[in-house]
Amino acid sequence: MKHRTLRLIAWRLLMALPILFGVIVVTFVLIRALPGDPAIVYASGPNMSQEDIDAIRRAMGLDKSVFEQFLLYLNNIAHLNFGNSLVTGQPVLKDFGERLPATLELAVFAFALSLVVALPVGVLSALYRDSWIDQLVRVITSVSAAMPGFFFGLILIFIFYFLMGVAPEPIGRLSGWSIAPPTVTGFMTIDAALIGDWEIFREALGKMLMPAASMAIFAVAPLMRMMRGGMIDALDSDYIKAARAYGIPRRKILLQYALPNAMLPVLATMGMVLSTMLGANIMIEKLFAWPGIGSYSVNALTGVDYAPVQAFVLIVAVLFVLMTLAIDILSAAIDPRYKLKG
Amino acid sequence: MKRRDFLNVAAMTGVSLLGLRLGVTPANAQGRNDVIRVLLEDSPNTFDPSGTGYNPASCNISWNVYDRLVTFGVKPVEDKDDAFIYDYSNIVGQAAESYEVSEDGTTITFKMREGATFHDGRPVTAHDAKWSLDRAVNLPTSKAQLGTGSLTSPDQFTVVDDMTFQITLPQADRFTLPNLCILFPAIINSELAKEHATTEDPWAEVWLKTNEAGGGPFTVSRYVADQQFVLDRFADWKNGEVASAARIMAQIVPVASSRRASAERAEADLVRELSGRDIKDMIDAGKPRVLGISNPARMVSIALNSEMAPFDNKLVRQAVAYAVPYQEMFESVLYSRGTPLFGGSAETTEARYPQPLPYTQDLEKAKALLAEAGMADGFETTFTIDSSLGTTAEPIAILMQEALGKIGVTVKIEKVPSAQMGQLQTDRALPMYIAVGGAWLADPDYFFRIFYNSTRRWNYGNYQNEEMSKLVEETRFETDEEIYKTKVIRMVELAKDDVPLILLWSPFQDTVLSDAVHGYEYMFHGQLELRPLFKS
Repeated sequence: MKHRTLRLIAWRLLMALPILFGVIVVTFVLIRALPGDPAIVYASGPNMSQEDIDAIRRAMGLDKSVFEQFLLYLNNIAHLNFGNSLVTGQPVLKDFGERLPATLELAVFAFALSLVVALPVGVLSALYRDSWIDQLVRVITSVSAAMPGFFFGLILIFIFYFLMGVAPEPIGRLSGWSIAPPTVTGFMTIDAALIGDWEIFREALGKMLMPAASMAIFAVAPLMRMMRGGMIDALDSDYIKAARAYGIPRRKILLQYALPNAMLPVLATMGMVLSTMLGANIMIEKLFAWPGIGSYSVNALTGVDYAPVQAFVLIVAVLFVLMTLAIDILSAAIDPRYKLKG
Repeated sequence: MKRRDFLNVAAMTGVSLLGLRLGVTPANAQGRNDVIRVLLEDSPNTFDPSGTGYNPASCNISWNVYDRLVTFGVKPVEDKDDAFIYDYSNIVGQAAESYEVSEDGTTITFKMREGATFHDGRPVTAHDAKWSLDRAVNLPTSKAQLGTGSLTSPDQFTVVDDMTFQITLPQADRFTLPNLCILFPAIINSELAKEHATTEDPWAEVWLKTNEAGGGPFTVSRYVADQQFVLDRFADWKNGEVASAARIMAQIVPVASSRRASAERAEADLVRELSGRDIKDMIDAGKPRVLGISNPARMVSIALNSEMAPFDNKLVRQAVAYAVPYQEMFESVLYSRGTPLFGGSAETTEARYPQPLPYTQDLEKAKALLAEAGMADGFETTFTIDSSLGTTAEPIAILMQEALGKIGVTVKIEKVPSAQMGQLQTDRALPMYIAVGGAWLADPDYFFRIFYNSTRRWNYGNYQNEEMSKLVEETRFETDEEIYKTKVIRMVELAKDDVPLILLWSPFQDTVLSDAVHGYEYMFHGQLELRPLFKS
């Protein structure tokens, strides 16, 4: 079993290569198809002439043919060189190294937050079907599905920061007066915990609450509905009826027999939700001045900064591939019927 | 791991997360005298004053970390307490202790300041000045600008002795000294920079992009792109008056509402780039201190492509200028946070520009002009807006669409990203759009040379007029004040009559300050001048 799983993982990773190549080609072509000439953007002075613009274009290597540029790019990627960002002036890989942990930390926290809210409530509403709890849940899911995270974030800031003053200033990961712990994992909370600085730990956690809640709002609805649906299916199935007939305690039926079976569809949804949180929280990152990869790549996109945009799409694609794989493995761990397929 | 164990772990994690509460640390900016906290919208993208593709926000660093040979003097802002503005007519020494202009104006001799050092302790000498200016006339970004002050070749820069530096000019040029005051000709620690230069990169562009080699009043002690930068005072700074020892902590907060919330809760000392509406709300609420300083050299206008039908007809341009609902735009779009550049007098007496154009909304006149141009039935056109101009561009476009509809002109609004906008402007492909511009040097002929002449992108209205080209040429080196004035007045008349640019207003530079901050000074580049800022 162990070896089989490992072989399957290797096979799946191999199969991901053509996908990633496709992603590389498409982003490379798409970003060049976008209107806007980087050389003109970077020729910022009002006294710069056409020759100056051409000189900048040559320096950027954009006077070469597209095919030549693509080969250069492939060669660079093979050497793990993603180029330099024109906006920040630093190697793209270094920029991502600084920002990806911030995005991951926030996404993981928001994900955990949405699970903590959605799963128990989903189970409850399945247990008390059509009761007032169920109706309330229905209202909550409708509202949360309709509410854009950005807008919810604004409301949170207004109430908890601006009016009540209980939440920390909605800017960044730490208050700015505080000294960040030495970077080990890049996760502010973990790094703080590692050196035992619990004050920074609390602060970092507090700073995450509002943005995480804004991100969680969109995830709560699908998770809750899937949990409820899965649980209802499980509770109506024959094996639960049999278990009841045998007089197994209700608690045991729920936790040991119904819940694992109800989790499968939820797990698939969880994969989707987490992926979306990683790639699509740009507005939330902007709103809370969160130094993540979302706001970074949007800045790059508006500044026609090719290298970071290409790297962003590639990195998110890799994350998606890994995530799908992880979800598949987890599904197999929960349900023996579920076979890992190559 | 067994399935049951996995579920238990998952449940435990959930429970432990529930046990956490909000961690709030109060960060009241006004209580801390040793730090001035600044919130900005954009992040600087380079430390290099002549960096290719530098963004305006990068001045916040390069302006304050480097000194120049000379700089503009300061004067108080009229009818505002505790606020200062640069004085274009008064140029004083900075890295140079003093300077002397020869009688014929072709030689300028600078005496370097005794005892002044760079941040690493090396003395600032004439050799540094020479290397820095050589560099500036070699790099594309600074080269083009310095050329407007007759600074074009390294041959013009001579080291007379260690502490004396000389510039020779082909002819006297009133733009030379102002050009030495701007961002680009910063004095760089040449020995330090040369250590990082390579044969492919003789001017150390790569290194200076993310490292500083300055002698200015601040050193960069922390810089994280898109997040924050911290500037500390350089203790041995000799090139000016030291206002305070406070460090500057700047954070990048892209969303205006977050910046505004911090400003209102007094957690920041200086907040920039809020919309007119935010500013008006805050003033009405009467809480924070708002300084709105007018920069006469900045303008927002509607550009009409004077070489493209139907706007190649002067009458059509005038008709559009009479159709603009100026007052309504000024109040509902800008919330009156600026100086109007409309409704001026038809007669020109003052030799300055921008000045208000003689237009107000008059739909009858607009219709008559269209009829005279043979277009009584109107026409169709496109109004292009830059998506990065956000809050003001769209309402302006909609008001224009509505107003032009009343004189029979059908307007389609098109929104494009700013990268594309630059290209469309360069290609002269746009019939009508919002053009924003500002000149660093205040002379009116300079403004006309950039915005009403040439085939470059910055001639927004694509204005090709022989008389204007001739006047722009003639005034370049004009020293006789009377002749200069007459010619400038003629240029203003042309701008009023031909309206390639329908001027709307000159927006205020609005800055929200905490009560503790003093000495605020507005510099020509519109970014932060931190030298005189102090807190008490």
